[in-house]
Amino acid sequence: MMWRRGAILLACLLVTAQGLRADPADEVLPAGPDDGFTQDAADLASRLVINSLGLAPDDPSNRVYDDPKAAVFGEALFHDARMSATGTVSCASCHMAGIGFQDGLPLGQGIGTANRRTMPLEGVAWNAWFFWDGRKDSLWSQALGPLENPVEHGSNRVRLVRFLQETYADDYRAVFGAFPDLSGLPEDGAPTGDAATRRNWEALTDAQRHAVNTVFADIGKAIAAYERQLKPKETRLDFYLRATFGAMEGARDQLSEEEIAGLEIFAGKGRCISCHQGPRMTDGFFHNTGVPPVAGLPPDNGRLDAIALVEADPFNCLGPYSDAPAGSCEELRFLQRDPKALARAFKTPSLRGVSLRPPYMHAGQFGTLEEVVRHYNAAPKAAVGTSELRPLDLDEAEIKALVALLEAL
Amino acid sequence: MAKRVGVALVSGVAVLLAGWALWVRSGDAGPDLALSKTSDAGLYQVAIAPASQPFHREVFHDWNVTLRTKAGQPVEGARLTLGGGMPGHGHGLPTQPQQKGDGVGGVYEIDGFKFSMAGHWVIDIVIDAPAGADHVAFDLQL
Repeated sequence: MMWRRGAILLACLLVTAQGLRADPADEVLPAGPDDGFTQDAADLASRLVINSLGLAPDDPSNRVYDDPKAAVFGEALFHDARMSATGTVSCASCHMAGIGFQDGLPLGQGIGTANRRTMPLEGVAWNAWFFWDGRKDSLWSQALGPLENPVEHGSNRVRLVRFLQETYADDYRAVFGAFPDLSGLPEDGAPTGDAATRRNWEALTDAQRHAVNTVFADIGKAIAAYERQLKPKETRLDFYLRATFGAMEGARDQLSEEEIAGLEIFAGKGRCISCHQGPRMTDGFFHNTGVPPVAGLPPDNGRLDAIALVEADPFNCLGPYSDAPAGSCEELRFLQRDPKALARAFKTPSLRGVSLRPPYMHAGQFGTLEEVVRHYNAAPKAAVGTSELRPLDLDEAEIKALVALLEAL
Repeated sequence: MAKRVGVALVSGVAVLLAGWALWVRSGDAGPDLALSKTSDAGLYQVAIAPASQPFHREVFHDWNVTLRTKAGQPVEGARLTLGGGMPGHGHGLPTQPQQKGDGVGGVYEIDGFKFSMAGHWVIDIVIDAPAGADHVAFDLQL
């Protein structure tokens, strides 16, 4: 560290003598700690502090998103296992509050086994896209997916709407008003599922299907109002950042020297902060990082295959069940469709609380944070598409420091 | 003799310093961050700017592209195709910006830019207009 600072100081002096201005990236943060952050790294690191998160963004497609009654109703639905085909699985079965609203398993376990890992929910309301591949464009629409997924809740929308009318009628009316006409519905029905379920759905009138879809969407909107309240927690890193780059004093000892060295790598040589940036430590977008496929699972193209799904989804922001006014839904209207960039690209996950939730990656490919760091350091070629990674050339001490920092998040 | 050696030494050091300074200058040059450029084939003068200030990253923000001929006349009715990305990260734009309108007065509104992270971005503009097809790229440090 010392030789590098000395070299930078010498370079600055010589540059000054020659009448040139040093690249800001080579200047040591003037008011910074004795930690060797470059100006760029310090600037990026300072933006990780949770205080800059602000309020969760609005969702114009959900008219009850900030309604406290909807959040209470949604919390009840989130924990109600009766909404699954077996009566044993609720949203909370996989999104467990004590471990960051995920399950700690490589692949989600509903009434069957999913093909991907359960995503954590703290801070989920800041996302623009949902699921690992972003095949949903709102939190409410995302909440509908598992309900009909045959390996998660395994239910269907007609059954769920009937259940809601029988069990939660008063709660529903208090938030959404009167039910639409739901008379004459069969026990089960949905455009997906087994043959009988699909046949029932096709036998319904357009008005019946629209009524069912309206109430089904409202289930998602109530659950989203609850999930919007799930926010990331303050950590030792935040105290350190506020002491180091902000006005707060006396908390720099919140991180060890090794963790501070890890933060410097995170924001500098390791380039982690290129995508894991800002207070949630994610850019919210999709990247191919060469994570290997899992043997035995079906081929997974990630974002590439999600584009058609989200565009065709009747529950998207532009669809008939969205409350968004004309002219909104920018994410969908300006959707990036370039296949070169999307093959096997998966969403950058938030790193807050990451040490609490192994295994890592979209199908739990890596068991430890050290395995993750070694993958990024080596930057192997992608099995499909092109990895954005380049080898980092981190030595053993640097790998250890970076892992120590990740453990502190 | 000693004087000549001294002069030679000083000259040598000066040459080395001058060379080093040139090396530093070229290393520090970085991308050209000008927001007004001539297109690659020289057909158009192109300028870009956020449609409103202050500019914000990580949210949708409209931009304006101003298109003029070499002689400075506004170019209307052009078709602009927007692209770009982060060359240092190997990824493209997270959204697909789109031209709105026909560029009255040579000013084209572009909707749908959302720069998802800090860093060096490139905006590519392919211009299709009566005077001919051309291309221009802008570097942004956001």
